[in-house]
Amino acid sequence: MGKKTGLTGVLTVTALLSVLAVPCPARVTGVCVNCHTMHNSQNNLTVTDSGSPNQALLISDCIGCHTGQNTGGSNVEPYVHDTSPPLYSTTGTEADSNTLAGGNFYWVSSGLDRMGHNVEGLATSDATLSLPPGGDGSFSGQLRCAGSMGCHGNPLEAEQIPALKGGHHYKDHSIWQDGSTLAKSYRFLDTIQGFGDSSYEYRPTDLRHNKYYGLDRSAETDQAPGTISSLCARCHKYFHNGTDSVAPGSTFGTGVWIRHPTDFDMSNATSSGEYQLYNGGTGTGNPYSVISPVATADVSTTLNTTIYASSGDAVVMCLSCHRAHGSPYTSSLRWDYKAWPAGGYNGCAVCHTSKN
Amino acid sequence: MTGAVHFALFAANFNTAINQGPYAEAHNVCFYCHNDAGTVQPVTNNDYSAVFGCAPVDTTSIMSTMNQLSYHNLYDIWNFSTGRFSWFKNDSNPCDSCHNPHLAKRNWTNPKDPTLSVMSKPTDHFKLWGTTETMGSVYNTRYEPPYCSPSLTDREPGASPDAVSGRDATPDYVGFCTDCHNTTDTIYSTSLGRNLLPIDWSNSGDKHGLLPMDGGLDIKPPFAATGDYVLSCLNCHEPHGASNVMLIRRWVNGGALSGTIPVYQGNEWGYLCRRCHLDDLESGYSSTANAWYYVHHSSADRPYPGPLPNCSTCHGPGPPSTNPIDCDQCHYHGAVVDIIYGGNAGTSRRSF
Repeated sequence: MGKKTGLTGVLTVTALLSVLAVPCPARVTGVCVNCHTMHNSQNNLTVTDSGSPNQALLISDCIGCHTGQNTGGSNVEPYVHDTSPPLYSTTGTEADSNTLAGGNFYWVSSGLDRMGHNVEGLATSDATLSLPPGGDGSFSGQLRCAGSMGCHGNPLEAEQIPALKGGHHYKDHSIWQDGSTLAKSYRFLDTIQGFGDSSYEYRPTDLRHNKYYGLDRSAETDQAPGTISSLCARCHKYFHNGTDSVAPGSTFGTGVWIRHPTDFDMSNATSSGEYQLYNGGTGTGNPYSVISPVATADVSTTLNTTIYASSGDAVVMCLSCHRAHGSPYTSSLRWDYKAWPAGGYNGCAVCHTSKN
Repeated sequence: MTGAVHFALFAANFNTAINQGPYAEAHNVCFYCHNDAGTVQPVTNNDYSAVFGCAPVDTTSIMSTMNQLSYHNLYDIWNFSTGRFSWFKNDSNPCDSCHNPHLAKRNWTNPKDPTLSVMSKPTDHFKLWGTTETMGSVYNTRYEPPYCSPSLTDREPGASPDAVSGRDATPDYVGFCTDCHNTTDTIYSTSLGRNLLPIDWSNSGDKHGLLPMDGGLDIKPPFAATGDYVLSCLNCHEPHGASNVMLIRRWVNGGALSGTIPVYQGNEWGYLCRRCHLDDLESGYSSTANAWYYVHHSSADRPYPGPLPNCSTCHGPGPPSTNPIDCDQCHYHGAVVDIIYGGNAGTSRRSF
């Protein structure tokens, strides 16, 4: 295939967009050509967005497939990047928002380093952070979507598309994602457990949201395998686990935090009653907050619509405060803390009820 | 550990190696803000005398207020609080013993509004103290708010228009301070090199507390000679620090002390006493200020009816006026004096 001309480039993009207009569910159930091209050739044009053939005969890569504007629906293709400003509203959960649980890469791709993960292909390397904050230095280089330099897929596989092998085709959304295989890993986050909302938290409610897996640890060195926060710890290790990293010199949860705890059940924080009032509740059966969500140790597919209903169901996690992909707010926070109290929103107070 | 500090603070909470003042910014994370210009994020805070007592502004930050002659020793507070209060950890900040930084409000913005409390009792750290627990609600008219400005027409706190509003706007500092300074807790003072005196403000304790007076009262307005009063701790003491010993305020009952009290043992204490009590000058006994013959030997309630035959028995050789007995010999928290000389010999008096 010859080198593309400017015209063929435009036509290629047009062809790609026409293909991508077809919904592409996460568990691939449609026709093969929704995602694949046999020869990267159609009507004397290339099909892939790069013009060159892709691994696994894909018509695009992670970014190409997952760029778009969400409109809701069950098990439709989740868009994590938009080329125009997404609707985020105040917390990304409102009826006038169109981002998903991970937020959106739009802002970091617009050059706002602090508002998302600087994923290769979407953003340049972070101008300030040469290494992941909290990391042990073992992860260097720019973050990717998948593979050994990414969050999704097989972390032992260097290439992104091969890293997702055995993923999309084998996903079963109806079962608890126990992390035993890539397909059974929550959102293809290898070994991570959870139970995903079928609409990826498009305008979620306390009755419809992701069920994140978390553990109530008893030691700061516990890596809590399988939890959503343990995934973050792969790069941001000391923010989650390590000797003298979170709660030195005491039994986990009984002493003084030096970093905000994760994988810790708030019901154990008994020095004050403030956490009992989570999200306006009383300490028993509090409503789940999609603004400041918590994880649970429960591995059933029954949705955790309330917390403080059973042991280990009020686990603080990284995603209690942050969006994994990006948000319009500093530090990829779920809400605009920096503008608070003059404006913005103080999602901290959902848990820290006595400090508002 | 990779640089994080306890409570996820920006800087180390409190340096426990610093057991006495003067304090520096790095000694206490609170001082990164509650400090004077030139520091990280200076916050202006005047002393109690200025904010609530109508005194001219003196110090302008908590740290500078504490870096005076006497101060609430932070190490001693930390040492006392550790193990005493379940919520207080080894790595807690001694300021938290009295303040919950997440609840504290800026009382200085409206000193007459107790709902803007800045205090939390150490035994009840997770709520504000004084929002409804006021000197008025607890002691009613037994608490007489002192004058505030030199006009002697308004009252503490913050030039309240009258006694009623003054007592209702004054948090119950007695209840607050006696959470630690009581008769059961032992508090060691590094600065003094001894344990602090226990404070008994009950009706079996000090006369400045709930104990009814046992005789006359040579007193100045707004106090009346017939009154049985309960003082607020902050009528006399600063909460953070003072230019006088024992955190004694520089401004009391509508006016400045006529001198500083630089040492514990001395008769400069009279500068404080005469803000409310009648000395020889103001009783008309003589023209000498801060002399106390009248209350000790002449008034109706005098403990030592005079003239006594031999002044030197108590005062030593020479004229008593040149050898007054230091106030602190008889007047201190918990003091009871056994009178062994003169007409009242064989009796005793609660002398504070």
